[in-house]
Amino acid sequence: MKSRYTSLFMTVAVAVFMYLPIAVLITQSFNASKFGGSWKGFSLRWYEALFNDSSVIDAAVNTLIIAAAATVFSTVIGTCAAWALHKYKTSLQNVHYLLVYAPLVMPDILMGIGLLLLFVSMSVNLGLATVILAHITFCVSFVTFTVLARLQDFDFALIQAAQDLGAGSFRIFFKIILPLLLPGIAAGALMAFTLSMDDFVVTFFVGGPGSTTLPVKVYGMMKHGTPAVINALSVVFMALTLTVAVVGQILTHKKPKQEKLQWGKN
Amino acid sequence: MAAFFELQNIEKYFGSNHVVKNVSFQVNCGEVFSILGPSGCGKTTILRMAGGFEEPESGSIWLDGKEITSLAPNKRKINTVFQNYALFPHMTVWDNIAFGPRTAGMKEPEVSEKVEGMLKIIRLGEHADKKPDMISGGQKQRVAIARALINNPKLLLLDEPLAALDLKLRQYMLLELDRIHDEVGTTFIYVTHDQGEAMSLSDRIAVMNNGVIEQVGTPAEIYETPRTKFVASFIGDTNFFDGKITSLIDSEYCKIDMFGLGEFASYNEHKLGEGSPVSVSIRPEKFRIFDKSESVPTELNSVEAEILDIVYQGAQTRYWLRSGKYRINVLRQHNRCYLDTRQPTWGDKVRLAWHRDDITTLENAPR
Repeated sequence: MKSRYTSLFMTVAVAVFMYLPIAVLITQSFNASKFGGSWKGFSLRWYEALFNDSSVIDAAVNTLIIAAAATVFSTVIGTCAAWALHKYKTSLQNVHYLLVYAPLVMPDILMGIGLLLLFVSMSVNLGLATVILAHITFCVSFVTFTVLARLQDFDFALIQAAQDLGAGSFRIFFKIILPLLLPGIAAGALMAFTLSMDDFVVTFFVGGPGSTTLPVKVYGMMKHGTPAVINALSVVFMALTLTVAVVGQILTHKKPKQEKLQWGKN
Repeated sequence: MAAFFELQNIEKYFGSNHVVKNVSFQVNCGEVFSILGPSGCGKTTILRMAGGFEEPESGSIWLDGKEITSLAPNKRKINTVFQNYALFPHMTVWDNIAFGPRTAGMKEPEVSEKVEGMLKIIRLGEHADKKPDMISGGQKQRVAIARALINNPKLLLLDEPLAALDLKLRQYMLLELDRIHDEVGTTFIYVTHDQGEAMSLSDRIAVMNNGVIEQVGTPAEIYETPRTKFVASFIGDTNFFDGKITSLIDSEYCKIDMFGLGEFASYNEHKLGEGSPVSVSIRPEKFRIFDKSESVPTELNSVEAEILDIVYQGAQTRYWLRSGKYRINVLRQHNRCYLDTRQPTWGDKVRLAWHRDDITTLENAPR
């Protein structure tokens, strides 16, 4: 009995720790009170204010553009990198592996400062383009490792089998390799998209005029804006991220039902 | 006349590893030709060169009068059944089989007619819509064969196709393969390390060891007249006796001093000269055991031996006998009821006899 209570307690504690702040945030976004000290009744006025603020809409559009661009490019580059890492085994590949792995563990702030210095030294104007480049840079590693995991189960004999049956490289890529790697590629793309959407640190460093994203916007509003509007914005942002993640999960984890093997029934 | 399929002086290295050494052989149209050898002997490499997945360092490969040595796999009229089937996991059985014809740009109605035909041959019509992970090993095997055969290849390569199956299924699939071969008449090259499979399926067998083909012949030739010690010991059981040719009787027979056992007249197939060190191979079933009271027919060679061990196996009994320094493995069929006749028993002193024609005299290459 004791252990049942322990596990129940743990579950509740985890739920409270992780989700209480979010629950408070959501509740406050519907609170008519401006500073959220007390409950002044249900209201949608902060959402109204939010959608009337064109700079917020701009930030949302920027976020989506950056995330989409970063996802497309990092998925293509990351998938190619994973293929190369898996297929060709030379001593130089260890270096390649390390190079791809490093960004996963490198602090964001280092990458932000580094990219900023690079852009400045090359006298590139900071803006949407630099943010997109920066996002591609850190997303590639995540895509690569997701696809690489999928490649571990990839049977290269299938490629030879397709060749044997007369297929050229084009047909092999579209009929065999792509369909089989798609779940991995999609998972990688999804990860890239969500990472790009909620990145603050790197974006903060390499962003310029006209490239404000939602996380940067939220930070800005913390200083100057109405706290209640920030709450509403955060809820919208969260809903957006969650939707992407859920849709992605549904798309990538749809596995066919497996019937039990029936031996002796040939 | 040129052979239907031919390998000429093929050499292949992997790094500094010489895996295929000057291999040549010919395969006739419509036959089942097996390449038999222990793992690592180079047989799969030969198959992969025939399929176009590897290129030989030197030598040439010919199919139906055309050289195909460096032709890409998708340009050869050869198809392969891979060791672990290599079925496309994301496609149904139907789509797997249809892959070849669709790749060739065949129209859909024609494709489905051909696939239906193949499904009939492999008897898997009711599983056409299943994915490969939903069917059993034997069924996968048949799908792999259908997927290859649907392209009407001139040559079908099978790489250890039954290795992944359990014993029962393997025997069943062997019969299936034989039936399918009879039905389609395609030339098969069959790579295996299992002598049983090779013996029961093949018209001819090439026995390989260490990158070299030691002998090519029908199953009976390979078994009855092995050309090397390796072939004699790899195919079936045998007893080896070391000795030396003391004198030649005529062009076919010689006298061999089998160290410790005595001097015996022996068939000398390979025309080895006087004084050659030899190894005499005598198969267990070629021996006959005579009781002390029986007289041994004069045309037989015989030695005294003692029975060490008896293993009754129903259709036959396996005996272990000692004679001189040798432990000899003897197999005896029961053509009369085992219980009705007097059988040799442990410790019996008997005479072990063999006919001088029923042996193989092989040159004992110095190691």
